[in-house]
Formats: sequence, C-alpha cells, structure tokens
Amino acid sequence: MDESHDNLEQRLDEAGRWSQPRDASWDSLLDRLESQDESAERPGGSSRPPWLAMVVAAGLLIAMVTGLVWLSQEPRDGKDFVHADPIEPIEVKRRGVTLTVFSASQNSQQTLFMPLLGGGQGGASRFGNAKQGGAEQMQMDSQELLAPNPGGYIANGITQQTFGRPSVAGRQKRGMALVKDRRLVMHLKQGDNLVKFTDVAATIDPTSVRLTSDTDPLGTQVVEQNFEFDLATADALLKRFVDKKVSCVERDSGELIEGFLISFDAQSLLLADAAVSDDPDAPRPKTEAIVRSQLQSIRVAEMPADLYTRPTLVWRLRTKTPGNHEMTLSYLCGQAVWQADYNVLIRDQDVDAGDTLDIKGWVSIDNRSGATFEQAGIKLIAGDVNRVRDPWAVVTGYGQNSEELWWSDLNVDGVFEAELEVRQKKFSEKTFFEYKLYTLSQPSTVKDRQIKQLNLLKAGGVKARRRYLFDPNRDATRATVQLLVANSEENHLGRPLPKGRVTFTAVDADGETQFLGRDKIDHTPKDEELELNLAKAFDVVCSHKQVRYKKLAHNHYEYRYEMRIRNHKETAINVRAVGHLASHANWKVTKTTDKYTKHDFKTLHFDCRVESNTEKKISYTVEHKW
Amino acid sequence: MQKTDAQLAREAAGGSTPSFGVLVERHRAPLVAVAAGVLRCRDEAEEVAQEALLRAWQKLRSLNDPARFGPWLRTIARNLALDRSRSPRPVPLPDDPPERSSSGDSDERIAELLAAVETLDEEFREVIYRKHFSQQSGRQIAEQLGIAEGTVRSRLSRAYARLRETIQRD
Repeated sequence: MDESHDNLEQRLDEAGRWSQPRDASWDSLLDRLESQDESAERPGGSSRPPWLAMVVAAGLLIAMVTGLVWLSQEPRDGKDFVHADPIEPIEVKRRGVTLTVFSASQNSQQTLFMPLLGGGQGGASRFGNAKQGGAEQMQMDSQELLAPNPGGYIANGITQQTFGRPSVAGRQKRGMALVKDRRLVMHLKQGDNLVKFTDVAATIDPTSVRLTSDTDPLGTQVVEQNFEFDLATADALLKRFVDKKVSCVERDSGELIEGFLISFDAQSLLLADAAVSDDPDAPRPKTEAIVRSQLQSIRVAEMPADLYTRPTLVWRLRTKTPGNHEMTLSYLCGQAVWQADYNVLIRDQDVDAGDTLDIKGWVSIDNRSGATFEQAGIKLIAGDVNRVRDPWAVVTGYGQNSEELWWSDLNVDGVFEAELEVRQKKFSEKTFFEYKLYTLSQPSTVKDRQIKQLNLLKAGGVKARRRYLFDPNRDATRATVQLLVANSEENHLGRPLPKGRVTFTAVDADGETQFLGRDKIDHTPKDEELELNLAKAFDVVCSHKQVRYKKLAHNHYEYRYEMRIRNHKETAINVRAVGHLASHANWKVTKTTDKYTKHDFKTLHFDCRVESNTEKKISYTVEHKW
Repeated sequence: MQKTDAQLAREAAGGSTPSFGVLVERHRAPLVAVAAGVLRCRDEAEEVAQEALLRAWQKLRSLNDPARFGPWLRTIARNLALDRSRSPRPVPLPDDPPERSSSGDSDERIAELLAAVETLDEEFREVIYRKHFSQQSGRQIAEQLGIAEGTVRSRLSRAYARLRETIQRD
C-alpha cells in the first residue's frame, strides 16, 4: 500500500476524530469517580492526617460492635434481612433495559408530555458537548467546565441549556416507545428513602411511570414521584439568585463586578450595590445595568440543590425491607420510532413472464428520546396503535402529518446529527394482540440521536407480475408500471410485512445498480398481494376521451368513452385500464369492447393484453339514470 | 501555558477531581484508539477507555513518575483491552455489513491503522497521539513533553516514516 505523507496524516486525523468519545456515559465519568468507595487506594487518601484515620477506625470499630449487639437483639421473622448502614448513600446501578418501539402510526397524535424548553440545541455536559453547540455556546474553557463548581460559575451569553434534550421548537417529532429499565438500588433503609434515577428519556410521559421492587413488591411502595426537568441552565440558575449577591467578570478588562441581582433578561443584568429592602423608608441602593455580552462569566455563591443537570425521576420510596432492591422502572417516552425499509432488486426482468426480485427488509429505529439505551433488548410493534392527544402536548403550527417529511429530515444537513449505524441481527416475529411483535435476537445499544438499522428479512427469487396501470384520473397520458407480488410462502415470502418504504433498483447492462423508483406499502399480512408502483412507463402511451353524449330523457343520458393504449415495446404487456363513472347516478354499461370487472360503485377495471407495437382500443357505453 | 500532565497528575493524586477531569479530556481519545486497535470494536473500546480511567484514578498514587502519566494510562487501557479480547465475546454474524463511519474509512480500516500506531516506539506513539488524537499543537506538545518544537517535528516525521513502513509491510 502506498501511503503518501499527506494521506497518512489525513488518515490519522480521521482516526483521531473517530476515536473521540461518543458514548453518553462519559458525561457521568467524573461523578462515578467521586462516588467510588472511599478506599485506601483512592487519591487523596494519603493527604489526610494519620490521626483522622485512627479516629475513623475507632468509630468503625464502635459501630461494628454496636451493630452486632443490635443485630443480636433484633427479633427476626424468618427473613434474613440485610441491615444497611444508615449513612451509606443510596446508589443506583443499571441492570438492563428493554425498549419496545412502536411503528410510525397514521393516527399519531401529539402525545408528548415534555415541557417546552424551546430554543437551540446548545448544551454542555461536564466534558463539554461540542457536537451540540448552538449559536449560543457555553463560553467556558475546559477548566471551568470540569471544575466541581463550588462557586457556581455560569457561562455568560447562554440563555437555554437543553442537555441533549430534543428541541421541541418547530416541528414536533412523533413516535413512542415503552422502556423497561431494570436497576439495582443499593443501601435502602427501612422507611422512607429518596431515590433518584437519571438517564431516563427526556421525552418521558411522567403519567406512565411505574416503579416496582422485584425484591419486595408488597413491602415497597412509591409515596411520591417527581419528574425533575428544571435543568441547570444559566437562566434557571440566575432566577434563583435574584436578590442575592453575584459576581461578574468583564470580558475585556477582567474586572470583577459584584452586586445584588435585581433582575435579568437575555441581554442584560441589573445589579444593585446593596440588597433591596422591603422597608419603604430604607435608602434605595444604586443600580447598574450590565450588558451580558460584555461579560466573561458570572459567579454565584453555590449551586442550588433543586437544579438538575439532566432529567431525573425522583421518588420517595417506602420499604419494609432495607438493603439492596432489584427494581423495574417502566415508562412511555416520545420521539422514538421505527419504520421498515425494503430494498427491492429486480434481478431478472421479464415483462411477459414476470420479474424476479431479491428483497431485503431493514428496520430503521430513530431514537431522539434524549436517552441512550445501552445493550437494550429491542422489540418492535408493527400496527397502528391508537392514541389520544394529550392536553399538555405541544401543538405546532405546521400541522404536519406526513411521515415522509418526518423521515426526510434525516437528510437535511444541520437539522440534527444522524449517526447511521448498520448492524445485522435477527428478528423473530410473533403475533401480539392485533399487532405484530418483532424481537431482536441479541441486545443492541440504541444511542440518543441515532438511527440504527437492523436486518428484518431477506428473500431471494421472489416472483412478481408486471402490470401497466392506466388510470386517467391519475395520469391522462401515461401508464404506471406496477409489480404485483404475492406475499406467500410459495413465493419465498409469506410473512407479515410492516408498513414502510420500498426502494427499487436494477442492474444495468454495465453491471451498475441503478435506482428505479420508490413506493410505500401498508402493513401487509401474509397471503395478501403487494401492489407496488414503480414508475411511469416510457414506451406506453395512453389516452382517454368521451366520444358520445346523448340525452335519452330528462333523467336519462348515454355516454360513450374510448381509451387507447399504444404499446411501443418489443414485448406484449398486461394492462389494467380504469374507467371512472358518475357517482351520483345509477349506471349501466350497455356496450363494451372488452370484459370488465366492477371494482366499486363508480370504478371499472378493464384487464387486457396489448401486443408489441400495437394499439389497443377499449370502448364502453354507459347509460346514467336517476 | 497549559498545565502539564505531570502537574495535573500530582494534583489528581492529591484528590483533585477537576485536575483529573482535564487529564481525562486530554487522554480519552488516545485511550479509545489504543483499545480499538486491540479490540477492533469502537463501542467496546469506549468502555475499556472508561474502565482504564477509573482504574487510573484508583491507582494514581502508585504512579512513581507523574510525567509518564500518558504512557502509564495507555498501558492500563492496552492491558484491559487484551484481557477483554481474551475473554469470550459475542460472535458477530457472518454477514454483518461493515459499520459506516461518518468519514471515508471503514471502522475496520481505522482499527488497522490504530493497531499499526501501537507498534511504534513509545516516543513516536506519544507525539502521534498528542497531535492527531488530543489535537495538540506542536508548541503544546513541546511544552507538555519538555522538548523543543523542532524535536517534536522530527519525531513526528520519523513516526510517519515508521508508520508508513509498518502499513506497507502489512
């Protein structure tokens, strides 16, 4: 391999970009460090004075002796209770997660319960989230971002922080998923406990949340549940410091300005030199308006305890069984959806005898719920799940129902960063209620803001009949090429096909794969026929006209129509010509050149064969009477 | 001037999480690269990189020469990745299509390049990782390693030459 100098450097740069961490779990790495056991090996241990270690050791010894005495006196009712140390903080560890994603539904209503945070996707994690930087970016250097924030630095010039939460401004994305999240909650004490679950979907429906203890389902109950979504944005922090002292650092001069925050908006802060008193006779403090864009940073005394860095579920949990509990959390969340995509390669083309197709079906899961589901068991529900509009749901002015537009977003640069991951794992399909349930054979990680593609089916040698559809109401001059595919076992299919998009390709004379067209299919059970529209035929020209009109009585008319189909191909073709009749009158076909079938009360189908380089004329006379 | 790894490592050994945070940010991409070169799997490499950092945090006091924090950290990651590669892992299905990266190279090709970087001598690896993975400038590398900028350039040049040889040989 000949590697030029530049090429090697480029490849190394590319490898460097590729190696940049993407996993959301990096955000919590420092938290995990801090929550590690206070073992002797932990840094900083040696810096403690020796007398402190002795005091701690003595304390532990006393606690152990006291505990042993207490345990020996505690009456037991047959259960081997583990008595948790009351000072041990509650820890939550993820055990596993199952994600059941519902297919994009026609009757999808806006059911997201997510509060509006609006605005851009700016946001910064502990390590900085460069990918999500919006116009208003956290203006901190890494040192500030990484600092434990004892003084509560606020980056200036930022008005919103969404922490990876999908923006709900503008288009409302649809979709729904059921999340079943199993976690180990450690060190619960008997009685009430405050338990917090982070890493839940930002689009969670709080009313659907259910938490159960698998360790003691009867003795453990949720007393209170809160979904905390007031995230630690700069403005949220400032709001809590109105009437309190803040310090600002000017961008250019580095000068420190201190004062009591009177009010603030996106552009400015109003500071006073003393706290404003409620006493009307008290001297009024001097106030000064400071333009926020001129500030480098704003410092507040401390981080309020009621601000969260990410959406968090908080429970007051009452249990009779202290110790560790295996718990299951389930909830519905929005903005996770899947759809099927079928790639159809027309392998052998034969207009007359029928085409041979190779069909590959893919499942595309689009997760924008705000949570990453690590090594999740994945289930997909195919079918139209009924939903009702939630009164809190965000109503957008777009009123868009088109899923096409929804999916087309994936290709719009800058709308969001879609990371395409292609994996192939097997789906098994089962009937579930009135739907089809597809279960993935192996766990898979579904990251936030990612489209994951998984293999759904592969079928080769599928036979298709080709038909040319001439429907004057659709196109007055051209016929649509249709492929009719029997979804049967004999035809190497015979399985439920979820609704999705079908892309047709074929190999040209040079061996290149060419795009032929695209269509959609609805949920299709087995043993039904798929009717796929490919394109408009080039060599088939059609016309339709009314050639006779006669009034037989005041309520009785006669019409004659004529359809002509000219086949310029070198092979004969099968054609379906559609005749449309008046829907407001009784009709009767009195004369026709070809046999027809009545499709519905106002539509006739003429199925005929048109030989190569010939013209086919279909004429039919209809009497309308009312 | 940025704090050197040695300064930060000393502070972190004294219990400073923010200092360790800076080291994390500086070294996490090289760690992912080292692990990916062994494991040939990006997702697993990230897990190993995090595990290596957690281990390093626990064992930081055992590091005799804080100036060698980077090589020491990468050794932890390499050993963890080797351990993991020896343990039973899920076998990918035979017809798995290659994962597409946002850039041109496939994941497999990048992993091959990373494995090639790992065959270089430590002094060459160090400058490659700092320049291409930690995105440090020549001056920053010189400051961090306590060497002249010209030395950084010559080391990089020799590192590229060695790397080209390795790639061509393979």
